[in-house]
Amino acid sequence: MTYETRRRLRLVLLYTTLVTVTVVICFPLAWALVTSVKPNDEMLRLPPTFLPERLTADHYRALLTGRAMYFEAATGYRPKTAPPQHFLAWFFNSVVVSVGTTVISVGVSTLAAYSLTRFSFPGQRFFSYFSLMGYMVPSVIFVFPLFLLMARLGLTDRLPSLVLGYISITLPFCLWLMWAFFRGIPLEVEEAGLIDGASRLQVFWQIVLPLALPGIIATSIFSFVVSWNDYLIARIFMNSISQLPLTVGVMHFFEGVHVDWGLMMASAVLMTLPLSILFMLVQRHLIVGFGAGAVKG
Amino acid sequence: MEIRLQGVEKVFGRGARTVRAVRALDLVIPSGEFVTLVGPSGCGKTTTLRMIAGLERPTAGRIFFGDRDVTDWEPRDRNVAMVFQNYALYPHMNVFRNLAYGLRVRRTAPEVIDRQVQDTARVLEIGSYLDRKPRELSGGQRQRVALGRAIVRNPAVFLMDEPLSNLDAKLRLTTRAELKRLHLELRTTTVYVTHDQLEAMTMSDRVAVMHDGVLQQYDGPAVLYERPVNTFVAGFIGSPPMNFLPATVERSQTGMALQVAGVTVALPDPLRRALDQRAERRQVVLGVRPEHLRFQSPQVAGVLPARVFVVEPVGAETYVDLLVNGHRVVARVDADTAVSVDDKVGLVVDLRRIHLFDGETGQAIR
Repeated sequence: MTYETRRRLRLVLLYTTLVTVTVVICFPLAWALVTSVKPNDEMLRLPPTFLPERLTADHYRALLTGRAMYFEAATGYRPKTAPPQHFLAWFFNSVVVSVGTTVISVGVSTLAAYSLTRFSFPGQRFFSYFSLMGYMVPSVIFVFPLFLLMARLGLTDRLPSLVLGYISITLPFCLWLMWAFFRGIPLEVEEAGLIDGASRLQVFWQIVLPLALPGIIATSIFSFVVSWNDYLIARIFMNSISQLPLTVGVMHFFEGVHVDWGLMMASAVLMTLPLSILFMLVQRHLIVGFGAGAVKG
Repeated sequence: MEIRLQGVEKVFGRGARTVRAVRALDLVIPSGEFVTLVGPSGCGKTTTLRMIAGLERPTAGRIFFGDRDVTDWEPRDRNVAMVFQNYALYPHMNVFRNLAYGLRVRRTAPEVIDRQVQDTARVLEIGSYLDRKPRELSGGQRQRVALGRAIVRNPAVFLMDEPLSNLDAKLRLTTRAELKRLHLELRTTTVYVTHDQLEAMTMSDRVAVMHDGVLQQYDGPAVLYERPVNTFVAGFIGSPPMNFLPATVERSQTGMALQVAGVTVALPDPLRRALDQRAERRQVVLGVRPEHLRFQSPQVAGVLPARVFVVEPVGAETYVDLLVNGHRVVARVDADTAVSVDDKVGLVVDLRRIHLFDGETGQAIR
C-alpha cells in the first residue's frame, strides 16, 4: 500500500467516524425539529415521513399563545389541565432560575476563588479541600436534606428554592474552575498594576477580571446548563403548575395515555434555542483572551 | 530621590519554617545613582527590592524616601516604577494601553497621556507596534515595553528585578548598554537586582553584595574588585573568580613570611604590617586573581609548582586551569602562551596584588 492510499484511507475512516458521530448526536434534534412542524395526523403515520408533507406552526402557536383550541378541532378531546397556556410561564421560570443561579454562582465563586489564590487566612486549606469534597458527592444525596431545609425556610414551591438548590450543586465546581484560572494569572501582573498606581479593587476589575474572562464564561455556561437542564430538584421542590421550570412543565404533555408529541417536540426545540444562542455568542470568548504573552513562555 | 534603609529585616513564615530573608540591612542609595543589589539566589536581594517597592512590608526597620518615612505606604503612593523579570505586561491590553495604564489610573489628561506614550515609544523605538498585544511581541520587544511602562510615568525611582535575564546573550549585552545610557540621560535613582556580577560591575555606580540576607559589602565596582572585605565578595566578583589557596603565616628572620604549597614567599609591606600586630602563626587564605598569575619554568626558585589541568582559549586571552598542591587555580594569560594539558609549570604570583583572608572568619586582612 503506498503512502498516498494509506493517507486517503485514513481520511475516509476519519470522515466516516465524524459523520457517524454527528448523525447520531444530531438525529434526535433533527427529528424533534421535523416533528414539531408536522401536523398531528402525519406525525404517527406508518411508514413515517422524514420531511413533512405539510408544514404547520400550530404546535408553536399553541405554546406561545397558550391557546389549545386546535386540540379540540383536531382530536375532539379537551385535556383537563390544558398545559400549553403555561408554557411561557415555564419558560420565564427557567430563565429566571438559570440566570439567577449563574449570576450568583459565578459572582460568589469568582470572589472566593480569588481570595483563595491571593490571600492567606486561617482555615484556607481546610476550606478549599472541603469545597472540593462537596463537588465529589453526587447531587442526589443533597436533594432531600435540601428539600427539608427549603420546607423549613418556607421556600418550597417558590423559585428561590430552585436557585438555592442549583447553587449548592454548581458552586463547588465553579469555585474549583475559577481557582484554576486565577492560579494561571501571574501575580506579577497584579503587582505591576499596584505599582502603576492602581488600587486593589482597580487591579481586580481592570486587570484580573478581563484575564479571567474565559474562566468566567466557562463557569457561566456550566451553571446555566446545569440549572436549565435540571429535572430532579425541580420535580421534588416544585408543586404548582405555574411555578414549574420547563423541564418538569413539559412532562404535562404526557397526559395519561395521550402524549402530545407535537407540543413536546416544539417545546424541545424552544428549550434548546437559548442554550444554542448562548453557546454561539460566547464560544469565541472561550478561546481568545488567554494570558499568553504576559509572561515569558 | 535618596532611598534609605534602616535596620530593615524581613522574615517569612512562622515556627520551624521561618526564613530570615533580609537581616538588619542598612543601606543608603544616593539620589540619581544606579545601585545594584547582587548575590546568589536566595540572598535577599529581590526581597529588598520588593520592600522598597512596597510589595512587601518589612518585619522590622524603616524605609525612607528622602526624609519621608514610606515604610507603611502603599506601592502606588511611592511613585516608583518597576521592571519585572518576566515583564508582567498586561496581556489583554495593547502596547499603547500597557504604557498608558499607569497614567490613566492617575487620571492624567488624555492628550498628555498620548504625548508621553509617544515620546517614550520614540526613545525605546517601540512606536511601530503600539497597537499590538504582548503575545505578538518577541522577548526583546516585550522587555522594551516593560521598560517603557516604567519610564513613561517619569517616576522618582526605578526598580528593576533581573530585567535582562530572559533575553538571549547577545540582546542582553546591547540592552545592558542601552539601560546604562538611559540612566545617564534620565538620572533617575535606580535600584537594580541581578545575580550576574558582570551586569552589576558594568552598570552600577555602587554595588551591594548580599549573601544569606546579610549585606557583605557596599562600594563602587572598582573598590569591590580591588579591596573585597571577605572571601565571599572576593569569590563572587570577577570572572573567572579569584583563586583561593590555604596558606600559613609564620614569623621568620626577615619578618612575616607566607607558606603556600610548600613554598615560602615574602610578604609585601602593607600586609606584613597588618600581620605583625597579630599572632605568631596563623592559618590564612591566599587570594589571587587569575590575571595576577604568571608562568615560569618550574625549576626557578620560589615559584609555585603546578600542573596544567585544562586549557580554555576564549579568543583574546586564554584561561588555564591548574592544579597546585591538589587545589584548582585559574590563570588568565595571553592567547599565545604555549601550554598544553599535563605540562608542569611554575606559577609566579604578583605579590603586590595578593589578598589575605583570615582562615576562620574569611575576613580580609589589611
